[in-house]
Amino acid sequence: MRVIEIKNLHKVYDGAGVPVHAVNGIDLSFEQGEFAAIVGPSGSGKTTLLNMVGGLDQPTEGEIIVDGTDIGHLKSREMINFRLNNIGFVFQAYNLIPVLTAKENVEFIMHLQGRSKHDRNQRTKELLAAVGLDDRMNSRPNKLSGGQQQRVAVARALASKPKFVLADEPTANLDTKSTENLLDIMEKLNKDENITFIFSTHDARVVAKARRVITIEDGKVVSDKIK
Amino acid sequence: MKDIVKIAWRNLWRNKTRTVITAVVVFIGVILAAVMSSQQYGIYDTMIDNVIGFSGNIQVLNEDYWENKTINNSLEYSDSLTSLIGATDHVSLVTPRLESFALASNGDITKGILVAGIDAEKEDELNNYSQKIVRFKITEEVLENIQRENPGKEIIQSLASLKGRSFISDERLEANIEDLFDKKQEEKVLALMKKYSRYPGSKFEKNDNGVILGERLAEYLQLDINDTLVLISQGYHGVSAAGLYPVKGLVKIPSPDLERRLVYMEINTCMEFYSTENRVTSLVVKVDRNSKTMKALEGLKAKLPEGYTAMSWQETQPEMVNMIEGDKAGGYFMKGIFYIIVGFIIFSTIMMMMAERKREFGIMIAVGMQKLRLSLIVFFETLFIGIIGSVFGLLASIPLLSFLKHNPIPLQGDMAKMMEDFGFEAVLYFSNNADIFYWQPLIIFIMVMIIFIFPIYIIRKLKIMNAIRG
Amino acid sequence: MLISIAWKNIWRNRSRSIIIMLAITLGIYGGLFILAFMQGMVKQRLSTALNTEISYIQIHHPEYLENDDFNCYINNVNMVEGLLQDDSLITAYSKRIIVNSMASSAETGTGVKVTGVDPETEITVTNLHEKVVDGAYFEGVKRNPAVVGQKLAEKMNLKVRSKIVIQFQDANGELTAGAFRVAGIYKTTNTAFDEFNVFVDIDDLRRLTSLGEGRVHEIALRLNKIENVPEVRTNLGDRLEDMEVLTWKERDMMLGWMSESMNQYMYVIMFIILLALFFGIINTMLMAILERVKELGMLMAVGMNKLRIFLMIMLETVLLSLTGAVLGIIVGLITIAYFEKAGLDLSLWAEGYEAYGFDAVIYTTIDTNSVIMIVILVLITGLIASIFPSRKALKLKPVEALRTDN
Repeated sequence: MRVIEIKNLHKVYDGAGVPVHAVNGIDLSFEQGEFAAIVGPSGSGKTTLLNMVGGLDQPTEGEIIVDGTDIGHLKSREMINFRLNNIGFVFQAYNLIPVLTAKENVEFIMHLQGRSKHDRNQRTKELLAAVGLDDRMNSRPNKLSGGQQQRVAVARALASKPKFVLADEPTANLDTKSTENLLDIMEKLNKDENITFIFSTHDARVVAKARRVITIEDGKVVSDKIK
Repeated sequence: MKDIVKIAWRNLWRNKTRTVITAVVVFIGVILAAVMSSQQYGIYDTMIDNVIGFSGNIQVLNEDYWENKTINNSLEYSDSLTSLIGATDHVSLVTPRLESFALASNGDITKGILVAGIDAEKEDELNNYSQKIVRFKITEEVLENIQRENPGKEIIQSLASLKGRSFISDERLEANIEDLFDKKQEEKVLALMKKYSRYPGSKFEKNDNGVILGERLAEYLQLDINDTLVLISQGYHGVSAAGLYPVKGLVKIPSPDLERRLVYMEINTCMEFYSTENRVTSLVVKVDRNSKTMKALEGLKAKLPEGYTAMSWQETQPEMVNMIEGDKAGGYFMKGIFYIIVGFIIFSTIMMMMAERKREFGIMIAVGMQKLRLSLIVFFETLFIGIIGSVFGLLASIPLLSFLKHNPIPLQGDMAKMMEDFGFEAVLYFSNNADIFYWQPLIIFIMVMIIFIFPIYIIRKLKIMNAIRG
Repeated sequence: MLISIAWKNIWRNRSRSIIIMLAITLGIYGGLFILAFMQGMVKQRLSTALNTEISYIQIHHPEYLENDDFNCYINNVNMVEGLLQDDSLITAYSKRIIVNSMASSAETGTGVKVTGVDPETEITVTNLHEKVVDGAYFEGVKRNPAVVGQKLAEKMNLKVRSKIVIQFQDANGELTAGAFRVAGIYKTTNTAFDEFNVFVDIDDLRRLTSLGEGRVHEIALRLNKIENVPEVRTNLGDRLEDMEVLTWKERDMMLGWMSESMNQYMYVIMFIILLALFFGIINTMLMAILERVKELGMLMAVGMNKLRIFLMIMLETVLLSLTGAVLGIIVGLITIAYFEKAGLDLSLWAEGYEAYGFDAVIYTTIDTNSVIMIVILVLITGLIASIFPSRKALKLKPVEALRTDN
């Protein structure tokens, strides 16, 4: 089942008077349950591509269809809602709201969705257990290590049962052990629950774990390998 | 909703110092504004009380009297009129006044003065004049007598500073003695004082033919108890008015200007002096609560027969009303400045909070929080910052001002003399009128609303990508 | 060098710095304007008192003022005049006879103070003649002219050429009356003065009261400069030992008190304003320090000593405060200068002001000392405020500060 379909995607923006073709005609699609890594040097357009897949930016030309909806032309309000219900995010850092505990951070998304207290409680427990942090539920981010914070971020990203999870350099600030931990968890979730993970990364360890590696250069896909 | 409030509240405490400092600024602003208003109202209330004490809340007059204040424009002091007035809503007292001018003289010294004929009992109900009659006077003679008793050099020296002073009650005498002497000497001095400085002034009886003078006037005319005062004037319809009257007492009047030129007479004696028969120049009306003055006035005007009119003290003393309004305006200006400064400081705090959380906001919107919800969170944060300070400010100022109202701060030195010259007790007056208090949080709230425009604008214009990466 | 770094640091976060500077500007402007307003009020009151009411110095018989005793007059007037003419600091003087009387018209009467003056010399000492709003100053009425205040005229229903009867005790203790005709009506900015003071020709009054030739109750002096008052007073006091020589301050205690207490009141207001700004500045600077933790750590690591760090922060705080203050002062001085010429019109409250002797048009004015004082106070505020952020900065350990920690 196709989760994401990208057709003839272009993004041009103004780079100090000169038009920059950050994304220059990309066609891609992703199926449910993929564990893919997008790699490419700085300036390759990888970041721009991912921003558009995540609905954080809009294409100049082309379509991005997520689960049947063309998200390229949604209005701000609709886009925010769409992200809430369909896309999970794990950023490189600062994922969590500093004044909320781990539990509250995970619940946060479901709160926004308007789910009942019972539902929220139950799912939060499940998710935190899945990432191995049910014993640190009531700790605030400043009491958690970098790796633990990222794991809570993963739990949070899954809270809304999204169509896919976008992870933007999630391991960049972590040491080897934490990276391994994190990747193992994400892999397990991917295999057990069939959750789609799309990474943007420079990290070799992530690339190693990924089952599909897409390379972007100069705004175009230059290779797309399935292992 | 509860969630939003919870997040907003917690956000406040991310930087405890900053929140506390801002709250302190708001607190200071609220307290200062309250104290300033309290002080202003304190003085206004006292001034108004003094005025009402002498002229009542309302005066009923012959309708021509105000334009032409002559005894010929008097009104009849009839029972029917008095009971008509008395029956009006909120009227608590009606007392007659016969006011006119006269030349007062004591042999070589003369002065143009104001005669006020008063009802012995009712006037007392109006302004307690009997309580302001001098009961102790410390003249040179008194000091000499005390000296003869050899109380000690120290005591004599200290007593010298009291020369010329007078007191209206035992309490005032004791209070002043306490101030001047230590515990040991107090008793001795008090006994001496009570022995030698008593002054036999007393209030009027019905049909009394004595006069009570303002103390300053008596000093000018060099008159003492039982001396004779000569009064010459023009009575009703030009009839000659002349008479000799014994001095029955000296009185302290809140307005020093009046004290220098006022002579009280018992109303019947006064009517005889001016040959007015049963006519007086005004009926002074006291209202049960000052705030009901206008209502009572309306009630009166509706009932008064032809030829009569009623005026509130505001109409008879427009200068004072004007001065109070002008002073209030000045106060608004100053308080305005304080509040704007407080507003700026709250504003700077909010802006700092916004700036440091740009990335966090970007992420929140990225994961799906609507901008409106986010704005609500910031709104509550802004509101709380304003509220904490003002709630504490209110909690602190209400008991403080209530305390100060009943225990005003005494003033010293030149300032004190000046106030007494103007007829006020030398203290810093305070008021705990509700008006003072409910304005302050309202103003803070309005400022919060205005300040909030900026965060809303920032959130609206937030570009997620710039926020997260920038 | 530190100063230039401090200055540049202020502008790293333009909006934050501007916001707090605006607060300071406004606070200082407000304080300055209020001060100028009050100084303007006092100056005007003083001017009115000196030029219209009590003059610079007054000379009386030593017991005259106790009871306004008609029989306590100045005897050797010629001798006194000689002294006055010799003193170059005295520009003019006038002699007066004063009687406390009762004035009556057809319907009413009231107590007034009647002052007999010689119109030609009186106009050199007071400017009352300029305040005549109806009729003329001692012109137009041949017999027994009188010049009365507008408030009195209203009270007694008097117009120009109205008759006013004045009753008093003459030199022999006899009750007499004189009939005068209103030649002019004056209006000062002091309604109490207007209500109480009636002026008549000194010769008319002398004749009516039978006060002998050469006797006067009061001599009022005008000086070329108010600063000379103490000197002239001492001179005269020495030479006129058996007379009472009083300065304007002694003659009207409230005036003297008023000009002195204005300053104190100002300090209180400035203090409060600065207190609020003090906290605002601290907040701003603490924030500035907080976001530069890494940089400070780096500076300390590469060798900037604690004193320099403290100085840098202190300079930043002080410069921030002073910039806002200077701006406030400039704007303040401009508006003050404007109102000094044009006058701030408060005629909405004219009645109230004039009842206490103040003009309802205020000409704001400020003296240099006060401005300097304000600058110094702001400086001190900035200095003290800088203590808190500096302490925070100095407590940092370079190693910890440089760590990249979430």
